[in-house]
This record gives sequence, C-alpha cells and structure tokens, in this order.
Amino acid sequence: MTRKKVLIVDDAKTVLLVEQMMLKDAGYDVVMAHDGEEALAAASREHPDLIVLDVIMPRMNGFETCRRLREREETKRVPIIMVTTHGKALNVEIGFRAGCTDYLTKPFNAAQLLTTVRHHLGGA
Amino acid sequence: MRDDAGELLDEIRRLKEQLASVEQRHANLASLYVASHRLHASTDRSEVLTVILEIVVNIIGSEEVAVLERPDGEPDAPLAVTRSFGLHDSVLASLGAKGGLVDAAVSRGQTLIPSRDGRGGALEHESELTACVPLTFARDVFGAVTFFRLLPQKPSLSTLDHELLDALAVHGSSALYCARVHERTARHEGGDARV
Repeated sequence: MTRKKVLIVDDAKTVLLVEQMMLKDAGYDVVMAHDGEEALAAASREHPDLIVLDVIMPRMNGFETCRRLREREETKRVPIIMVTTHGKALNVEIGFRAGCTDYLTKPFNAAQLLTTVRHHLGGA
Repeated sequence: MRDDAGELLDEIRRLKEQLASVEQRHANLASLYVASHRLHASTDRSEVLTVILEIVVNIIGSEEVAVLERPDGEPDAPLAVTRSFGLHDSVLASLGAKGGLVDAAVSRGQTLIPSRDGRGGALEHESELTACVPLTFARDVFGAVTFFRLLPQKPSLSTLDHELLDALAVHGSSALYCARVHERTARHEGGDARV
C-alpha cells in the first residue's frame, strides 16, 4: 500500500521537527516548507495527500496560501488543516472561506495533530 | 454472543484509550527531544534565542515572552531584555527591576511559577507572570526566560510544559551560555560566530 504524504508548513523549525517526527512515526511520508511560497512549490512538486498549514508566516500567510492552493487543479481537493493561534470565530471563518478543510489551534499539540490527520486520511 | 460482543467492544475501547495515552506521551517526548536538539543545534546566539522563543510561543503557548541577559563579562550588571515577543515596551522596560518575582527567581537561581509558588511580592507589571526560568552556568545566573499570559485557549501549564521549563533551565542555559562564549571568542578573533 502506498504511504500517504503530508506537507507541513510552518516558519518555526521547532514545530516542523516535532510534526515531522510524530507523522513519520505514524507511518506517513512528510515534506516540509517554511512559508507560503515554499508550500506552493512543494505542493506542485510533491503532490501531498494532506497539507498542514500555519496561519502566521513570513512572505505569504496561511490564508493566502490556502486560497492559492484551492485555485490549482492538483490541490483543489487536498484536505488542508490550518493551524491558528487563536480559535477565534473570525480566524476560523476566514480559514474556511479561504478553503481549509479543518483547523487546529495553538499551542501545538502533536497528539491532536495526529488524530486530525488520521481523521482526514485514515491510517497511514 | 451478545455478552462476547459487549466484552469485545469494552476491550476495543480500553485499547483505544491506551493508544491515545501512549501517543500523548510519545508526543510529549518528541516535543522535549526536539526542543533539546534544537537548542543545541547551533552556537549562533541569535538562533538559540529564536529557538527559546519558538518553544515558549508555539509549544508552551504564550505570546508574551522575553529573554533577559547580563552583558557578557559584567557579572554585576543588571539583567536587560535581549529578545522579546508580544510584550509592551513599558513591561520590557520594567523587567530587570529590583524586587518582585523575576528578581526573586534570579536571586535564588530557581524557576518560579507564580500559580504554584505564589504571587507574593509581585510588582505591578508582574501580575500576569506565568513563569520565570533563570539561565545559569556553574550556579551563576546570566539570564532568564520570562513569559506572561498563556493563549486564551490554554487554561494552565501542563505536565509537558513543566518538563519544557526544566529543559529550558538546563539545555537553554547551556546552549545560550555556549553561544555567548562562541560569540565572544569570534569577536576577539574577528571571525564569524556562525557554524
């Protein structure tokens, strides 16, 4: 069975490394990007099955990145989980309007991330 | 038959709970491992400070954080803010003040968590202090990590957070101390502190 591939996007390397470790141990292939522009390039190149996208990033924030991913044929239907600092209704609404599938709130919780990824992808 | 099915469902529920608990512990250990690894991954002082802030902001969950340091080679100088995130200038200006919780933690060289240790003696700007972690080397305090309000969705410090504070006290201290020494050496040699 082909392993599912997850693209994780965050400007904080510490978060990326924890996410990578958890997802790899759970049997997923992982690709990393440090900002929105890198994420768009990685999504075209790697064809991920799911994208975990931080909202606050340099160069291009998560909302804009999400909008652009949804405009592309190859990522139109890929589940996108946005990671927001605040679970405020406004942020969540902007995220869903930008096309995200689900959201998580910071502080980062690796176990919660794994549960959400499994929910959208099934087991690795 | 029905009894067997019921027992089987109970067993599945129990195993699911066990799996969730193991995964949570695994996640905590992964966070601790990565935090320690990241702190020691560079001898560049600016990078070490960035990692300290990343741990507090993204993993512990406070967007009001400051790192204070004594100027290198001046053991009697007061602590001053060298990196911060999300704190008002008036708070930053008061952080190195004598008296109060931060000063008490630094004087004792021990982590202070007001929700556990009490808020007695807090200065006005320290009313929402969540923790102060002194940074020490050979028992000398050369800095401190302080952070204030936790994110609204986070009610209090978790077990993992307490372990991360211990990691900051040990690994944050040694990483930042090494980076300071490296920076000083590079300055004297006129070289580049980056590795």
